[in-house]
Amino acid sequence: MSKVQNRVFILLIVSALTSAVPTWSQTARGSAHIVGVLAAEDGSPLVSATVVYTRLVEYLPLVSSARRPVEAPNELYVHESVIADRGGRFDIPGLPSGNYLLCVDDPMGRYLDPCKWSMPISVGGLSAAEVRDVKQIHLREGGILTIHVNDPAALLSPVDDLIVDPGIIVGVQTKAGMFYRATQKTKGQFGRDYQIAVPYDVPLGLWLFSRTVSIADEIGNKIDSAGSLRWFEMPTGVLARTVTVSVTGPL
Amino acid sequence: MRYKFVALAVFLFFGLARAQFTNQPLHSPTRLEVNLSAIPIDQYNNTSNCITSPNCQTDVHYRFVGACAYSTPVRTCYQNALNAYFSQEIVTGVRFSFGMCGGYYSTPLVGCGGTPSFDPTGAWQGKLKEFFQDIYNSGIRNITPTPALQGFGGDAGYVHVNPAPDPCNVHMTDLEYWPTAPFPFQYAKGGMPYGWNWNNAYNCDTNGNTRNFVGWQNIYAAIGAVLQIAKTNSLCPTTPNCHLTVEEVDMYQEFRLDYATIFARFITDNTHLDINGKPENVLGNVRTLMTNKGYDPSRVNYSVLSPGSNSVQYNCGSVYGDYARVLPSSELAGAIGGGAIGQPISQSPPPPNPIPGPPTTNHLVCGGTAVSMIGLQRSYTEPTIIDVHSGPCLLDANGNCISYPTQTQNMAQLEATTTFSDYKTFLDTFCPTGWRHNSTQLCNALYMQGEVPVYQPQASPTENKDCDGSPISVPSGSVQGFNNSTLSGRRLPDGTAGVIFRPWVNPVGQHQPPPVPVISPPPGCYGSPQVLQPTFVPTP
Repeated sequence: MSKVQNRVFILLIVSALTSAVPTWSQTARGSAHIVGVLAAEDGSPLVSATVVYTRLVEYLPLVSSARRPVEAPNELYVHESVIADRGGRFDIPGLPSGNYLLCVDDPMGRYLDPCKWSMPISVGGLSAAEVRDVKQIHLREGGILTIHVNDPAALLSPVDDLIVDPGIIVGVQTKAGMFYRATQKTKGQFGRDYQIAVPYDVPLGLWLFSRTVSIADEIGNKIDSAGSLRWFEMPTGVLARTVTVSVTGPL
Repeated sequence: MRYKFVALAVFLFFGLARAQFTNQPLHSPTRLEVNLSAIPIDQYNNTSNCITSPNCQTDVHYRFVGACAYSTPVRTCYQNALNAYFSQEIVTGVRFSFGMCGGYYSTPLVGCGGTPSFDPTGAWQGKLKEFFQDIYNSGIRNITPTPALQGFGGDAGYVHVNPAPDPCNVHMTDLEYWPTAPFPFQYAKGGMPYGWNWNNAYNCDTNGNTRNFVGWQNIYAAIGAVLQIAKTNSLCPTTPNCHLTVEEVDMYQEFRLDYATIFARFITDNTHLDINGKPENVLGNVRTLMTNKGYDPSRVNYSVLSPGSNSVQYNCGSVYGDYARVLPSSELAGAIGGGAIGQPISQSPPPPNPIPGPPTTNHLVCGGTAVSMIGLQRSYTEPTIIDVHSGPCLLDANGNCISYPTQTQNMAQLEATTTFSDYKTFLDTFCPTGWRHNSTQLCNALYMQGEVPVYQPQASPTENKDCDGSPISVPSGSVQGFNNSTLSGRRLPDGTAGVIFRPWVNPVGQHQPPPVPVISPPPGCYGSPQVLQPTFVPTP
């Protein structure tokens, strides 16, 4: 851990220890629940998927020259996640009333997040203390696209940073311009794997970009690393497909 | 009689209190600039300062430059202000914004809402040249043009639609479309963009703005013309190499990528694809404009609004590993550098959150995970400048500055010291000895305090607010806090000042044509020129 990270960590600990931590009863923001079950299209439960829930916040009309949006009285932001159990069941407790949107992230990468590939699951008008059962949420299965990046000269950065990319951006783009990055699944000194679940029979572009390295495809053809789109479709039923590219040198 | 006594006591108390503010020169090396806000370029050679005649003599709302006499030509108002800023206030640069489709009397694009085109008669460029000549002749050499892409009131082609389509299903259907923005904004909701508080908005708003968007080529044409005129020798034909330095292009005022990923379309626009399907490379293309005119492409930038805390000198780490006080800058750097943008997910199980507002600790977004944050298609080398807008102060529970006199200069100073030092820490992470060590641009970046309040109390003495609404203790506290921070003394690699303070001194009369809306600060609150000293005394 670096000096800076150390300092931030210590500050977090110190602030946690020294802050007056209110009791739950004093600070409970609500007592509503959203419960449901994550399931595949055939009804089988999805295990250990993450439900990301977001409350839609209401704002006041524009007032004078306020430099930030002003929330309506007593509005609360909620942007959190819970993990479904082995039966696919999830229970989101302690919610204030309001309108919510749910997304689902499948760590196994097989099932498509509705927020990315269709519409978020809307839970409207949740009232205080209500337990809203959204029943089964059926997720569509997708094919797993794996992009294996050979990096024989170790030109990609080993640093995982939320600000600067490691030297390559990998993802898929729709014809309408939606773009989703593939998740880095493995990383070694001389290569790494990215993965993303994609819908079947939809034209998609495999996007590769780099501003620091040149990239070649499986047969050695140079890819325009300043933004390459290679259109493809994942046919129904194909569970997985792998594309291999190689970092061939610095730009 | 009793009331007179109370009034006298209040006057004496606050008068004395104001006199007690400690003013220090900004620690060396620091430069000073000013914000001139919107320039009425179409009317720049108007022979009077009156927008409309009947009320202009008595009501500053009806003047182009609220603080300038009604009978003075507009150009003279600006010439006088610029000359005084340079010769008396040691100002070395100006930031100005300009409307694109007629907003606040600036029309580089005609036909907005129909068939737009760039300045077919050259009239707008001619007047802009006069403005630039006046800047140059004053002795000031640095400019920061800021296109008003969300528009000011009065832009042609503006459309309000209710109900509008809601492709993200986020229950936002009362929308407004500005002709120079590639996505809609929420009408009557503070001008927030569509998809506010929804990380996937950049992607799911596939509609973008197909109603009235003028197209990037027109916007590039206007920005390119600004750069061309700043560079041209015609500013002073007899002097070789005479030009203004474009120190920064502030492409969008006060970016909020944490709450509105859709703003990232001003970097890479995924709703405008080329024939191969690639998204519009906005930042790259504006950088090319800078390069083509001989300017530094790494000075194309986006200003951010810095958050504060309601706990004195409170600090915590953000999802990026930086201090949360610099979160908007981390987000911007993430968008440009190929990282992640949007709101982090709060730690699970959810922490108690008794305060209305984002899931924060003492109003700062601490920690979290990046699960639902998104990334853009491209990445870029980082800019060599960061532009932060803030008036450091201690916040109340609602996120507003605690008022003066409770907000003492010392209180504001402590907040300022913490925030400025956090920025120094942030920039150092990119240096060879920092834990990121991956951007020499940010390591060596110019720190632009792009907006900061100036000491100019509003007319009401009981409110104790400066013209921009901040407590009157904040300007002096900001300077003192900076001087006590680790950012003080910053130098660029060439040895020049690494920090610039750019107070907000908006001199305009109004932002919308009559009938006059209720606006704040009151027009004419600032002087033209605004007196900056003794609060802001640079030591280059």
